[in-house]
Amino acid sequence: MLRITQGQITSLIILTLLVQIYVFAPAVMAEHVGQHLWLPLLLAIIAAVILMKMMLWIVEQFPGKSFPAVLHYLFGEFCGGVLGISYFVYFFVLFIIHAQMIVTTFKVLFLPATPMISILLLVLLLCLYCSLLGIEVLARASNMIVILLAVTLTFLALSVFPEVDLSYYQPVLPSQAKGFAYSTIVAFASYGQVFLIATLVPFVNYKNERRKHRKIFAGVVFALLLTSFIVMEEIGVFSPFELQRLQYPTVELITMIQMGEFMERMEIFLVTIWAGAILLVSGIFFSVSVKTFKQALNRNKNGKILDVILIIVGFICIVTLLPDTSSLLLFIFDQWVYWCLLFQVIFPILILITFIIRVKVRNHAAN
Amino acid sequence: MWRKRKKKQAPEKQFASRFTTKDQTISHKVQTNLDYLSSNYLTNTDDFVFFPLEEKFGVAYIETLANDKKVKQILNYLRKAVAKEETSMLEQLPFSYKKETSFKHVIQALTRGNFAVFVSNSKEAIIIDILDIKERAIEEPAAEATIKGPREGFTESFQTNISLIRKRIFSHRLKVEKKKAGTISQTEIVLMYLDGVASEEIINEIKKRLSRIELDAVQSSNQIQSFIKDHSYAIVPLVGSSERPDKIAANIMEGKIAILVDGSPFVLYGPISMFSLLQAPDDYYDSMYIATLLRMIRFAALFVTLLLPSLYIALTTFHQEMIPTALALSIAAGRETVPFPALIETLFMEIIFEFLREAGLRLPKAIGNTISIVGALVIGDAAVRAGFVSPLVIIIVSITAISSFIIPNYSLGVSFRILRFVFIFLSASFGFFGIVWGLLGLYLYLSSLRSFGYPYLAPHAPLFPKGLNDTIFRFPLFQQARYQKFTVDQPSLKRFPSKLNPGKKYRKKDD
Repeated sequence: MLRITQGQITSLIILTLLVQIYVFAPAVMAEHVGQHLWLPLLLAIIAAVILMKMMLWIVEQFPGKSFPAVLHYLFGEFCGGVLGISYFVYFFVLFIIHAQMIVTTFKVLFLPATPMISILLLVLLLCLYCSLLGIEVLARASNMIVILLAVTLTFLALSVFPEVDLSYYQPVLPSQAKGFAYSTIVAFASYGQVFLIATLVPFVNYKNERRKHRKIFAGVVFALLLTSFIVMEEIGVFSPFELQRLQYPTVELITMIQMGEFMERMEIFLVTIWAGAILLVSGIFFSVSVKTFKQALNRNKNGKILDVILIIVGFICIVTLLPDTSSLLLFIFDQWVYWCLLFQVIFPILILITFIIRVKVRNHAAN
Repeated sequence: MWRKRKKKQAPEKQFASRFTTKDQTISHKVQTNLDYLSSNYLTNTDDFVFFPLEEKFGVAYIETLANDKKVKQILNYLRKAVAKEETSMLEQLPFSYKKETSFKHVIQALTRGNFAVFVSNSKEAIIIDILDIKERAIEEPAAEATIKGPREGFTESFQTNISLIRKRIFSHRLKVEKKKAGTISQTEIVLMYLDGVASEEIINEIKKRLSRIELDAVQSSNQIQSFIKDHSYAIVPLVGSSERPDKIAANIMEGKIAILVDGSPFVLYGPISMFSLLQAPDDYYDSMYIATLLRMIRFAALFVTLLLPSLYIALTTFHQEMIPTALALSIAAGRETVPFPALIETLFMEIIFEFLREAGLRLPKAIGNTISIVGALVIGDAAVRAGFVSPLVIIIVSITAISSFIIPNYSLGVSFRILRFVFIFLSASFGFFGIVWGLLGLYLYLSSLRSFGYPYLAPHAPLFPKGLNDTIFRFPLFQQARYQKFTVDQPSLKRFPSKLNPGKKYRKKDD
């Protein structure tokens, strides 16, 4: 089996963190906490870093074992299998969200006359192709895409920085705690996707690769800070009240960039780069979900039928459950952000406790 | 039951390459041997010459393969031996020779340009090499011309080609391994590599792949290529090919392996990456600034070749608001009389241009110029005047065509020409989304490819920062001491002791 490097894992994680939070979340968060958006973002960053460290530590105790195999080891065949399947659902839903996010964004902003299903089919085809190529190829490809996206976002952040009105951040400290919990959950629903690291680390060539925790840590923190900075900038550029009314605040932010008189509007170019990145992220989530499903069921054959079946299931789910932007927003912010707590907080804590009891305590007792 | 029946009825597969040559031991009678040759193996072969010499010797050769001078010398020597009645003279032949005892080997030797001598009362035939095949002189390769580089190019003779490489690498470490491919053609294939530098794993893998080739005849190196590349259906070239000895020698020095095929002036080499196909020999004969600029231009040309027509279609069909107002008005004015959508007019011009390009290639040079005039005036100007296409499409197709000629590797250029049509359809259906979808798909596809195990997009995907000093940017040569990752046996091996700035030392002396 081909293996990936620690650097490639860092790229994959950074990429997943760089594509989502600034799309819909700023408007929802601004609605709840106004200009004090920085506080939920900070809390979410801290929680995400802790989650990443925790999962990295646990998974590295089982070199060469896949994440579902670790779950089987810790929780037994049945409970481990159920937990593995539930994480398959988690990654599958993330794939659906990302796929539909790009479809609705392009449909609403640039392709109003094109049938949604045709765009969706194109996205799903690419995700299927990603899954057939395998995580190793995606890891290889992610290096350059992450550089391109990081440069684009940095360019965006720096270009619109002069437009920031600092008075929109006043007062800096909140006077009441209302809405903070929800906003933190919303931010953490995006940043908590760092959990993906638990399924990626087993792909690392642990025999030849040295652990590079500092690089992974630095990369994750950079991604979290960069996206937070963009979200914060949106407050400074639009004001909290205006931001609440924008469906695609980051696209609006891009329209503020003026490259002389000739290049009047360049949002399509930057959105196109984002589209490439989110397409790859959708592919990553789909590949990981398929892998998790196969590993949870101990099916290690390289069959392609399951991939095709899951893509068809994804297509049906999107068309029936999340057919447009409003249903997608409703699902993400009314249901999914809470479900994320289960996968990104409760289950990881459960895994940690079980790991400490089963492995550490038993080993200690045995010695 | 049906399956069983079908299996029974299926005729036995026959391949011309598996025809066996009947073997027979050589007779002690000269005339019998000559008759056997002419009646069994070389019937209807008018250039086969055979005759007895005073019943003592029988000679046979194929005159179209033979060197006339050598034939005369051998015949004179044999006549002298007959006159002196000394068969022992045959043991002291002043030519290099070998002996064969079976007709199978004699016939193989004859068809490869040897001279056979049958001796009375002997069951052995003497085989003397008299091969003389006319080959063209060493010329500058037309498709890979340089400004400052050497003017030599490979020829169709593999021996000449080996010597052209050898004269650039005078080292015992340069290994030359020969083997034959093509059961009928028996074409010589030569593997050249630098021992101790080239990866043993890759050498063995190439040998294994070469040994698996089952062909009746190998006509060109491209045939070999399709049998040995990692992905049989890859649209892009996965094995390098060049007519330039300096390029092949440089690649061998970098730890790559060259494959020479007799009869083909194109020498294969690998492993390669896509970025190496965008490099030209002149990059190394000029300063790093010029080389870097030229590589950037080529890289840009690659994207223009692939995307310019599709960008035009996407912008004019889906994203008109993105076009600056002044330009949008100009485009609208140009398209006012055009009755077709952007897709049709672009496709029309692209296809016409492909026709012109193919016609220009096939026609003699003198008429080729006429074709370009017809293309430029009649198709271009007249099409615009007739309102078939807008002037901007003519400009776009022309720029695309010029860009495609900038790509140094012909095969890569053709691959991107094919892919361009895919992008045209994608952009016509989905605008920029289609383009980015196609680009990501292509990027993933290229990332998945390997050339003899070496990642095709390396050192960019996967990213090896240390290998980036000779891809789009060309760093000074003294900083390129490292070999490419994976291509050499020992990762720590260096080409020479690298220095950050070798000139600095002398400057200090002057001070």
